[in-house]
Amino acid sequence: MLKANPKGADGLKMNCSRRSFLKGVTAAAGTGAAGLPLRTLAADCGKSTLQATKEAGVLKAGITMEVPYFGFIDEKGNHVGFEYDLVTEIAKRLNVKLQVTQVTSATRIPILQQGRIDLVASTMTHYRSRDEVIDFSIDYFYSPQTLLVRKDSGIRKVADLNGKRVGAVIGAGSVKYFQEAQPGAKMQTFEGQGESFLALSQGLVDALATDAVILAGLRANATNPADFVLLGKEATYGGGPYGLGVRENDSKWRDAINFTLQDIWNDRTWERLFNKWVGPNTKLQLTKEVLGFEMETWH
Amino acid sequence: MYHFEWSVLWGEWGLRLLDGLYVTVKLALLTMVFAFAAGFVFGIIRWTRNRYLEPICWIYVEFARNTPPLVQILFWYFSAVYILPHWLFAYMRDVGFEFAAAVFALSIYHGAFVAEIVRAGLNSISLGQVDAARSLGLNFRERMLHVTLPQAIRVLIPPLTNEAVGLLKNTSLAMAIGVTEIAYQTKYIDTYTFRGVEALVAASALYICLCLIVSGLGRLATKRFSRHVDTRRTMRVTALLSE
Repeated sequence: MLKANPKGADGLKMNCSRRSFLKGVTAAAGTGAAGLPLRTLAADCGKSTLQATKEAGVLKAGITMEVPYFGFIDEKGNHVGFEYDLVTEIAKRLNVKLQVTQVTSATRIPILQQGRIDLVASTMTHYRSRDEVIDFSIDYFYSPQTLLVRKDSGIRKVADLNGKRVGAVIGAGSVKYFQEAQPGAKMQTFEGQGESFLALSQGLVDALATDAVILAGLRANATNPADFVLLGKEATYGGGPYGLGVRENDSKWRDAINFTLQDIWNDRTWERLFNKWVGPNTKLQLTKEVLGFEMETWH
Repeated sequence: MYHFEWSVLWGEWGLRLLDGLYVTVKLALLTMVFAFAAGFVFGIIRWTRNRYLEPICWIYVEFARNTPPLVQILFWYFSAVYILPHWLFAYMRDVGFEFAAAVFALSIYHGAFVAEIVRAGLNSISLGQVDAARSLGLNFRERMLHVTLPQAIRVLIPPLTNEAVGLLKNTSLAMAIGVTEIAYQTKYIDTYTFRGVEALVAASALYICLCLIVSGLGRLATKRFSRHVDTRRTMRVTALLSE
């Protein structure tokens, strides 16, 4: 196995010559299913990310830039949102500086595993199948999965979509779970939220299916939000808790994140952030009752 | 540390990749038919230098060649609502408009490259051949079919094979509008399992196999269409040697 450079944060850098890399690749090709240590992380040397983060004084976090009001780029070009503020709060409470990497759903997992970031906040729903690859913090949000439709379409519940076309972003969990709830619908996926919304307004699809908070953000950004209806309970077919992503088998780091999240919940900072970005007085106009979230707290 | 976990590709996820393979092959074959047809028509027109048609072909070729294929795919997909009559749009939408849009956009894009290859190939035939055919009283169709194209095809096949391989790889761009081909399926697998690296490796292997098959066919075709040349050259060489 390749040894890490034992110097603080730089210890995450690869210390491997081209030849040993090639050796690794040939070994991978030869053994097939066997596990392959391609990159060496601080965690592998018995050092927790928590210690490495504190020593470097920097929290390296990946935050989504694709989800309006959670992690997105505002009109002034700043990276802002609920998750951005949440991670800023975590860094503050860990007494370290925050270093943000903008991630997309395609990049977030590989760069977490490679150690280029230590924490991912990217409206990631916690699925068991995903948990086999990375670890998740406790839930910090819950969003039901519902539908966004054009007001004039007359679609008001899941059953109305039999034989219709439903759009989603490739990479959204709803692509599979909505199909299971309504096998009669044809799923159509798009590269980004913007394209999927364009398709809905043009009539290329009859509804968009994904997390209610994402749909509310799309509606809020429409030229005329009143043309679209965000359906509620009668069109809910699932939902999922969001968790922050951390690397596998780093229990000290995960504990530190979990405890910090609970502190943020307990002193009502979470509620302040919720009211700032998601709540009834924001563009999203969502209530805690609709989302139905309560963070678990341990004493 | 990244542990490769190939078992994720067995069962449901592996079958999804095979579904994607089927769509990729279908998309590539249809696009090849249309792109080659368009390419030959436009290429021959440009070669003939017809005063009225040539400028149109020139505009088409320059437009299609100088815009990225991804932009064209998105453009044709999202502009259909303004171009097509409503009944046709509604019908196409329900049968799966994304596939048709991908075939259309990629055919237009690669058709332009094929047209340029065909034009260059025809230019490589000496004008003497065409003049000789004309003096024998052959009309345009006969000159093309019996004199110019049979000679040009030898020169055309290697670059056309190259274009076909490029086309095959560009089908992966169709995932942007939700065509469920191989690249789409890798992203789908990644969504639920976070095992995107394994899926990408498997997808690369599939693409490599497909492209090698296309290049292999191209090589066979080159051999077949060049067999006269080779035998003649051999004869000439043997004649020289026996002198």
